[in-house]
Amino acid sequence: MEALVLGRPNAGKSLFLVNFAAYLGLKEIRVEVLDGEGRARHQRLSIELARRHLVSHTPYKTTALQTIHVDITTAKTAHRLTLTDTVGLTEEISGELVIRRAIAIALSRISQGPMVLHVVDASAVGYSAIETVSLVDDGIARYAGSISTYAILATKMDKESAKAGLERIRERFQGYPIIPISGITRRGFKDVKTFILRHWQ
Amino acid sequence: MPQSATPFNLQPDSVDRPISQDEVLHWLEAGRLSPDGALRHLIRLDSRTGPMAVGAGRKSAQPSPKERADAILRELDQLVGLSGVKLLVREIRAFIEVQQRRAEFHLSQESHMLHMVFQGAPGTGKTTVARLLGQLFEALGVLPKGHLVEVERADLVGEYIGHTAQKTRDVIKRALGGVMFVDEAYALARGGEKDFGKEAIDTMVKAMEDYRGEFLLILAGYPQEMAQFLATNPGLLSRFPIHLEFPDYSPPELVAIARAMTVQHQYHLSPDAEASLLAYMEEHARYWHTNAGNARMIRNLLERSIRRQAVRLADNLDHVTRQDLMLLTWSDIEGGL
Ligand SMILES: Nc1nc2c(ncn2[C@@H]2O[C@H](COP(=O)(O)OP(=O)(O)O)[C@@H](O)[C@H]2O)c(=O)[nH]1
Ligand SMILES: [Mg+2]
Repeated sequence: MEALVLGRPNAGKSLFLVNFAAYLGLKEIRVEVLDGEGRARHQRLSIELARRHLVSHTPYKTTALQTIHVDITTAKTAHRLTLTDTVGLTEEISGELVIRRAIAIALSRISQGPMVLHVVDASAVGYSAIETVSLVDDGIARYAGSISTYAILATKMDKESAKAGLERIRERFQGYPIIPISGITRRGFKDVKTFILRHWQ
Repeated sequence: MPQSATPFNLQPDSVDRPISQDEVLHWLEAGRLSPDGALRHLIRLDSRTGPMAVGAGRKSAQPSPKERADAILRELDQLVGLSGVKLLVREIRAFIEVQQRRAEFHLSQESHMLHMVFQGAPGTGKTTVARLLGQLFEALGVLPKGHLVEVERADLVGEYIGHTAQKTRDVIKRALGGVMFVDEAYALARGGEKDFGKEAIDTMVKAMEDYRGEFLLILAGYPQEMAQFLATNPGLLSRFPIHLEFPDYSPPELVAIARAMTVQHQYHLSPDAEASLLAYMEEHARYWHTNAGNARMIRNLLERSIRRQAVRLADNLDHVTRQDLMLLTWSDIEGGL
């Protein structure tokens, strides 16, 4: 089972991914980094290192697909889950070929039918004064939402403005499953796990 | 002919849309598409993402696209007058369908968005026709949503440098997949070179490139002002292949509109009221033409008449018949003129 994590730059995809893997019991993260040329490199990182390595304050830290394999163990069986982090999707055309290529790879994955976890920064939606439409979020919801098992992870719920943001997200994306989470406090991780197991294929 | 150009008069630099998912990804990588644009094209090209694919379950026995287009044209036909507009909209439909058929036979096609200029006074049906065009283009598969976003200068122009571009872009984003209708568009050129209206125009022109084929832009306004506006912005003129003229309604057309509106609200005009209204409007034709709030003035007039009728009947409510309640007489109307 593969889950593809998609969203805009800085939405909180990578932090969710690393901390969610840790929450599922992973001690060490073996990342498989697919670089712009399509070559796979393997790295072993402690959770702490992974967090530092993968999460950033600058939007484009994640320039290639980063894949983490974790086992979710339930009473009966162990399920192998592959979580794939992606580069943030923007409304601008990037001047860098690596980034454009990474985006193309990420989008091409959607049609292959993995589960899609769409990370939206609820706090950013909450404090934006005018309701600027995010065409990227619209596009992800309409595309992945109609061809994949799909959920919106409204993240950064630990922040002040996130409550208002969550309301707007609910209004905007009616009919889609929406799970409020925080990559920091781990709020909602249980719900994400339940969602993944319920849709296991 | 009311229109100054036919849809066949298209720009030569028409650019195709990507025709396969692979092509979308190549364009994305080559920097020809933004990620959100790529997503919209993927949605368009994926058979699993019909317009109804998400949310509300598909209703059975949906009318076919052709049936929907026919229904929209029937609705257009019910509008009073506007024969030139009706004719051109039929031409546009035929043109689009022929282009689509040519594509099936791998013949070259003009895939340019048919941006338009609507010339006419307020109240002559421009917004109504714009809304129907959006629905028609949606039915024909030219626009994915076909909704109408109606704006004017104040919605586009901001207070400081950069603000205007942002405001205009936000409106354009809302209009993607549908129709952006700019009423009194000439007002954007009001303040001359230094005015922020210029920035709004530039932003729209850029968006017509960036979101090629993704929305329909309609600029509307009084004929003279629009002609002058386009003359002073030659770059704009060439981007709008279709011009529709909405003439002021003639007195008989205004009476026909009044008749249709009264019926819609379950009233009717007495024969005397109709005849007198026609005579009155012919007598004051100049006023009704130039001041023509046109259809809107008719609506206001009828609203006043309905209130006057109510006053007339109020004293005698126990004895009024159904017919009395529906009838608008010339005295009801005359007092509101
Ligand atoms: N307060 C808060 N900050 C978060 C959360 N998730 C991510 N961040 C911060 O948001 C920034 C971007 O996170 P990152 O995971 O790199 O985003 P990505 O670009 O989507 O991968 C970093 O500074 C994170 O520390 C969250 O749930 N709460
Ligand atoms: Mg990242």
